[in-house]
Amino acid sequence: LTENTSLGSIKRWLLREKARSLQNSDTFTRLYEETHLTVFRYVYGLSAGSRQEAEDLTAETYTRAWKQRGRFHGDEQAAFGWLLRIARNLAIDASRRRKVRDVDENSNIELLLDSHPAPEVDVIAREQIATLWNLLGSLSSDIREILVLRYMLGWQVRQIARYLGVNENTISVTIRRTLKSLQQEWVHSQEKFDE
Amino acid sequence: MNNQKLSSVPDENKMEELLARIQPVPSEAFRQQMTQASWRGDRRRQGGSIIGSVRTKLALAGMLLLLAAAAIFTPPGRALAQSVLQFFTRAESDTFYVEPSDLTVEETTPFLVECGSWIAPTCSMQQIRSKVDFEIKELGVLPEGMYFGGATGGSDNVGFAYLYEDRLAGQLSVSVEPKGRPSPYPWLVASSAVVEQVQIGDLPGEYYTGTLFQDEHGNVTWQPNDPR
Repeated sequence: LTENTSLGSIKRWLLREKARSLQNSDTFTRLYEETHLTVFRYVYGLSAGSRQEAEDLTAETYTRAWKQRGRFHGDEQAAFGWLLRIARNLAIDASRRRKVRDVDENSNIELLLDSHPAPEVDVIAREQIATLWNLLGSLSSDIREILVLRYMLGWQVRQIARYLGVNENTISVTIRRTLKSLQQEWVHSQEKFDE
Repeated sequence: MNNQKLSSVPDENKMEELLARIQPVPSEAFRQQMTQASWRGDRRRQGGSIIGSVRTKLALAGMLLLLAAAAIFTPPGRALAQSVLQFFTRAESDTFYVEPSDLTVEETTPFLVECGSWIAPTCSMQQIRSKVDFEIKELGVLPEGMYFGGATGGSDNVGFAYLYEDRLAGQLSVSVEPKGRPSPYPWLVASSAVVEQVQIGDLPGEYYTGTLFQDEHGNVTWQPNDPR
């Protein structure tokens, strides 16, 4: 056997085992437990809709993944990326279907924070977060996705670049420009309010 | 004093800090709903076909069977198989190294679209036979509680599985390859694996227990029994 052939055989074996283990109900349940919060936050941020909608999309993501598991090959890390791609497609479809944002719920800051926010999250910060959330809703979905991945999910620029298939510099520049643009929008929104 | 007035425009760093604080959580109702999700109630079917990581090792350990169809279904071929053929190819070592990231590369099953993946095959024996030019035999008698789970493969290799109706682990995977066409990736066993010559009905076979186990650093070791 050549080295390449041996390696190929070993990889085939390992891939089958890893992929097979993902098909298992117990393993899929563990995958759900480990990833659902991230998937939920991802679709919530991406769709900029209501929490109910994000929950529905999250549930649908896992239901689809479970039904399509026979078409998936890879380990758990790859499975996570696969779940996010399913979630993204669902969130984008949902955003297209929805003409009007659920402003009332979006402005409810309690839904945007963890159920046990740190005491230092004071009143001003809460108001700022609410304002920021509403401004995020005005961004295009691809820009919003970058911010969601970077901040709500805490990904590094390199991870985002790999996931989205663009170079790191593009991601960094986009983030900087968007933050500046959000600042300007913030100023405009305050000026409008003052008028 | 209105709330909007309280919000001064944050600088870039503050903006980043605020964005990172947006950490919504699903409702309790959602959590309850997901305890009833479809995959949690699908264990009966799953029990046979798909096995957990630890169970996988045991299941594969017990039941991996390779038949060289063209060689063994004629008397001369059978004699040849018994005396010459080695179904499993012995590797030179019990330890290997495979970069973990390499395993995220999608494995391809040539008949994926029509017959599903190796992991979840969907074709009937009739369908898979119509897709290849070599003979495919199947088990004539199945033990009670075992059923055919589907077939898939490619032009040089067909695999199918027999599953248990009432077990959480275990399956019989059968791989059939034509004589005279070397498999691009032969079925390896580690150098120390004990491979026994067995008889399956009229047919010769080989049997071993063990599996390859990869740790998080990419080290792959042969485990003659359950690795954990």
